[in-house]
Amino acid sequence: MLYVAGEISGDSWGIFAFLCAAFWNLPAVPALNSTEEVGAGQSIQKTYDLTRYLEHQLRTLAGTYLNYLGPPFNEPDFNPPRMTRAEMVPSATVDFELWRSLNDNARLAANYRAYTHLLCYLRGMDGQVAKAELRKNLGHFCTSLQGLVVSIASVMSSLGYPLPSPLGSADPTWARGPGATSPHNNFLKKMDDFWLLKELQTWLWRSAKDFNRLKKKVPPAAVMLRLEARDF
Amino acid sequence: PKEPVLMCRSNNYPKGFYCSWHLPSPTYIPNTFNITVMHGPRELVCEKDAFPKNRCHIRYHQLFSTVKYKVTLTVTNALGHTHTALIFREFTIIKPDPPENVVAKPVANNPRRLEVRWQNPSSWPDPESFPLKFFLRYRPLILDQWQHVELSDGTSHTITDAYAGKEYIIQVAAKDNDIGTWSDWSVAAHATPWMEEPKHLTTEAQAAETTTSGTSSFLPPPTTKNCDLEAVVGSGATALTWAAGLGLAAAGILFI
Repeated sequence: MLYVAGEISGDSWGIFAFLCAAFWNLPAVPALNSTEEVGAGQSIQKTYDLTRYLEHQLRTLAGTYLNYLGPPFNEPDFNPPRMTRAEMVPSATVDFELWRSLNDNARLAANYRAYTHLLCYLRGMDGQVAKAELRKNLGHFCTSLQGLVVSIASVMSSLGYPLPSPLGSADPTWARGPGATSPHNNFLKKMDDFWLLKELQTWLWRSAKDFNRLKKKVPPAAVMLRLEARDF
Repeated sequence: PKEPVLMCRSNNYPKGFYCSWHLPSPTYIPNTFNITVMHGPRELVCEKDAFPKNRCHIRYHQLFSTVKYKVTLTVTNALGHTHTALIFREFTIIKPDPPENVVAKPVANNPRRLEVRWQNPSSWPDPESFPLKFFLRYRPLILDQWQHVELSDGTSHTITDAYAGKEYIIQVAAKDNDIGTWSDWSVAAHATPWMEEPKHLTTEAQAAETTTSGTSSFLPPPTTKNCDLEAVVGSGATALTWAAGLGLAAAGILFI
């Protein structure tokens, strides 16, 4: 695979943008061999399980990372206002009725887009971290998150939905330029990281609910197969 | 007034949440409570409940919010005012009400089984989209140690390792499948596993017959009078037939 954990240097936003663009053009995941319905059912379950696993991983990672950022970011009551820059991160927040009424394609697409963006931004964060151990943990998390993106793509593919089209090259706002050393910028960067982690956490919570809903909509054939497997 | 105690909880996710409060010690003079709820820059209205008076509720307009909620409660009386605040994210205050109508029944011809059924708490509005998982605990009344089972779906469970003839206490708790905390334990259900007719009892010891199939074809089906051993032992009825008296003696031996 193209992505080597922890190796992306923070000062080459050209490579960064290229990687983000390349990611959008992931080769289409081959449809599963067995009937598409069975494939979809199992993929949805796997994707659900993966979101739970990632949510768990993130708890530890976020705690460590926020401690690395230092106060006030690691204080439990820290409640800063959202800044415009941070709004670049795709938000999981959604109107309740709208969320309920999303069709399967829209629901999956929202997840796919969100995690693809989040993964890009996380990888951008990766190269900035001074501590090697934390860089390594971030790298592992990114690999797992990439697995989630592929898993979602697999579900969409097996249900016959096209993958969402890329939204153009990576936003330069998020590119970490070389040597941004002014303390004001440094604080803003930390703020960005803070919101990125929070948004990621919220998305993982939301995805569990999204995939719960999708599980219910899996065609009966797939459900029957899963039930039979459980009753052995 | 002393600093009030404030609590917020969502037992009806994703509809909204409620906050309730009280003073740790009485002031003996009238107090007014003022509550404000901020969601980022937005102030939300917390609608006061008619009863209980020290409670209000908020409806969620948005789900999966990253921005925290801040609830501030101010208590004012003639002697001054104090306040307290809670800051939390949407997911951390989710705690369903306990499951309802927990019922436990013996299983015919199965001396080690108890069938437990319950219902989702009625306050949980959408168990389809926001399924609950359950935690069951049970123990015979004579022992202190609980056994636990976690169940990821379904509202029933069959206990298969009950001690024969012992009365059990059973409780169930609920939690959203993915987020939040466990509910309090439900109201307890009591049940005693099915017992064979006393006159057909063999040397069944307290702990464990490892019968799993449980169909004893040579036994006649137990009469209701024999199943209800508690009532037989407890009743002071004078009109006991000789057969019931024998059953009583056998039951007495078993309960030693």
